[in-house]
Amino acid sequence: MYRYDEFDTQFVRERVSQFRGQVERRLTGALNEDEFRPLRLMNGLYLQLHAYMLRVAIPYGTLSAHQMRQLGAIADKYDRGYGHFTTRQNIQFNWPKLKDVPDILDDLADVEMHAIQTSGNCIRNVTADPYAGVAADEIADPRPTGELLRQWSSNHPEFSFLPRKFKIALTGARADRAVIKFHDIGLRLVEGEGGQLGYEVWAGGGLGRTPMIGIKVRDFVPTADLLRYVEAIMRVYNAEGRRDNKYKARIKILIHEKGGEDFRAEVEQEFARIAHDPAAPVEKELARIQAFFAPPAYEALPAESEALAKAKLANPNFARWVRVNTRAHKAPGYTIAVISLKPKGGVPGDATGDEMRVMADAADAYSMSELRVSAEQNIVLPNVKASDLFALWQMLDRAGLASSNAELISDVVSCPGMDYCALATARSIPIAQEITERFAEPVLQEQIGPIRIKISGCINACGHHHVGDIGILGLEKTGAEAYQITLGGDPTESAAIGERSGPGFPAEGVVDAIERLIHFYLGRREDGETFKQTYHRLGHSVMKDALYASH
Amino acid sequence: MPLIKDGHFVADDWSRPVEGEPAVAGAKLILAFARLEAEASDLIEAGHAVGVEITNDTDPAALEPWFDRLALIVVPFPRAADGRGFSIATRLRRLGYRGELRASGHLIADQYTLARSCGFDTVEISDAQAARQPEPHWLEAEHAMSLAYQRGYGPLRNILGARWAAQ
Amino acid sequence: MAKRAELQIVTANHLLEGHSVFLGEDGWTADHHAARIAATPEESAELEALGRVDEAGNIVVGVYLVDVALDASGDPEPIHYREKMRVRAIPSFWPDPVKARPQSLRPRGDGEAHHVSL
Ligand code: SF4
Repeated sequence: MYRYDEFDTQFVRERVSQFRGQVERRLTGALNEDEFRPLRLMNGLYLQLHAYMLRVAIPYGTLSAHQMRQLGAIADKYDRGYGHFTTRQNIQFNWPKLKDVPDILDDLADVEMHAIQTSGNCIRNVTADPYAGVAADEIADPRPTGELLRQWSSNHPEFSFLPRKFKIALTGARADRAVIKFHDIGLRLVEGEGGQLGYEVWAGGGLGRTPMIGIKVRDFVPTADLLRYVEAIMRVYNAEGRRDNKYKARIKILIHEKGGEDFRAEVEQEFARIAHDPAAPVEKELARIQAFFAPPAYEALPAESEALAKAKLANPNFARWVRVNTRAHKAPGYTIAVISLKPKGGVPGDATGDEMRVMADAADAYSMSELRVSAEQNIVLPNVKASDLFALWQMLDRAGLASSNAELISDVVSCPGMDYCALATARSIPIAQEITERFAEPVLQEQIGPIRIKISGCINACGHHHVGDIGILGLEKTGAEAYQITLGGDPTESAAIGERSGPGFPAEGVVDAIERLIHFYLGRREDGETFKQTYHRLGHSVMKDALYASH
Repeated sequence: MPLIKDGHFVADDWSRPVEGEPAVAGAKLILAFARLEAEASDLIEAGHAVGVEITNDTDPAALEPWFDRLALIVVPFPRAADGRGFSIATRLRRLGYRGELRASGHLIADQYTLARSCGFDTVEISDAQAARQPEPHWLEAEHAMSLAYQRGYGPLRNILGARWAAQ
Repeated sequence: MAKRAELQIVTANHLLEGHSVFLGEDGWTADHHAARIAATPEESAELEALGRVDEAGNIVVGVYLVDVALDASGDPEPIHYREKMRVRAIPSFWPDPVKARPQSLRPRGDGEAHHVSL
């Protein structure tokens, strides 16, 4: 993992004192709310329905056990004992007081964390494949680039007051678990000629009110040129992105209005201008960062663990958890374990201070002290020996953290919705809770197979509903909450935006409709088909009718 | 309008001449970009220092032929949240403009180091804003952050450079 | 198409603490039942303007009017579901609370309003 040096530390500390001063000036009125808002947002602080909310960055989703423990301590000390992990690898605290925020930021700085640029019209926390560095299907670890981008984008003098927010996602694997095609910039590590590493660059993707799949701007940018290339994109966007209408201010609209060809040409022109800029080269810095991400010393282990096999035989619940919640690791004898934050009836992505401490302990004991946060709002232990899985599972199970539902129907992604969010048009958490209860039966869940249900409480789509196999969008209709369902979305390399079904459902009807659809799918699917496959075979209109069929 | 230079409120010796009125001898004059072509050469010949005030969507490259003759370029900030001026300044500096660069409009003290890093020398704000954000705020803001990660921007100490020097 | 409700109250968030507050007879209160009620558009405008004074005074932030109706005991209750949730001050799925209700802010106009603590 990356560790701060004296400069990183000083930078973050200075930023905390700067914010402390800004809060003081806000309270005296030297800064009015219009002036203060962008400053507090750039330090992760929102004003929500009931309270302030502080969003803390977990850069490229990587977290140490020590850091996780500190998050738990902050939840207990300044908040109401819990936090919420988001789809963008952040954690949100829901009840901080403005006067405490500078102290919280200092506590975060103690463990090399911050809330810088987790909101505001700037470059946001850079996200990455939660399995980066350990996935069996990976070409190279994208996190060094993530760290380089984190530093480069921090307090950027030129790109801190953009037309709108700007999100960058990275992956180094073949399978896209970082949703790169729906980001302002999406980067995928690829091998160029002669094995040289570089990035395929996507831009202009996004969800929200105008969902769009990004366009490929370039097939290959050598790693050494990446910052310059990103800088060129940012400069074109900052100069030309629309500022007259905040709903049209994202880069996706600029690209859409300009046309991909023109946009590409302008970026290339700017890139050529700065290509020989002596200020730009960063290879040396990248090499320094890369050393922090050198793979750990894995023990030489047999691919199959006998102890694991035995424990599975003896304990079917454990066997199910292994089947559902572990993923292929690049080192033999190791595995990636997903800790689901979607217990039956729970709030997706929420974890209490105690749970954070258990996860930290689990990481110390069984995962080389490292954890990840995924876009599915779960926690990942990236380096678990297969032979340790049983002990790990027991530890998690005792703490109620062993739900066996990763990527199954009750692994629902949900934004906070109207229970917390000031922008919401409807609640989303209660719908998620109802789904996890309705489909709690583990055998049924495995029978249904992999399926993504994603819920947003408004058009802003923080719950990524457009890319769910089943997407649920909460709206207001004639003075009540109503839920519109989309089908067929896909956040991965085979990216697709979900298609709207017919009229929306009232809160009491939406889970029934989903249940109808699931039963229809189970009845009509062919051997071994996933929901997605059945959907594509039968087509949207057949599947969507099943939502409504009420005979 | 108050002018800030090096963290201090200073007197502004530039003025914006009203179109059609004769300029006071020796005055330093800021022309709108549209008037540059027609009026600048004569004014310069008459001994005036000439500056230009551009709009937010002016292509910095359009000013390149004027660089040697312009003593000031004024870039507008209609709202503190509108950061186009930061890119305009960066491009002007990278294109080789060496004269004074001024940010004018709504820029708050907390953006001061960003502005300076992008190449601005001076910031011009409204009286009302200056009343809320007096000189000490600007002096303090100038020292709030002493380090920057980005290379090619000034004047903060560059972290990458410092790191490499320490190796 | 929104019909203007007969009755309105003024709400905002407390600048320092963040929670929602309502403009009552003697300053801001976390208890919406204690809110002053405007019965005419003129009264609404007056009430809102009063709220804005404290916004400018850096005591509260985000002042707006909320449509209400009187409940059986004559207390104002919001009409829209969003505002109903907001006055509850906690997520809707939390068991019905004895609303952890901070005490009222100090009365307005005591000259050092932004030092109030709750
Ligand atoms: S999708 Fe809407 S309701 Fe949900 S968190 Fe985002 S802004 Fe709030």
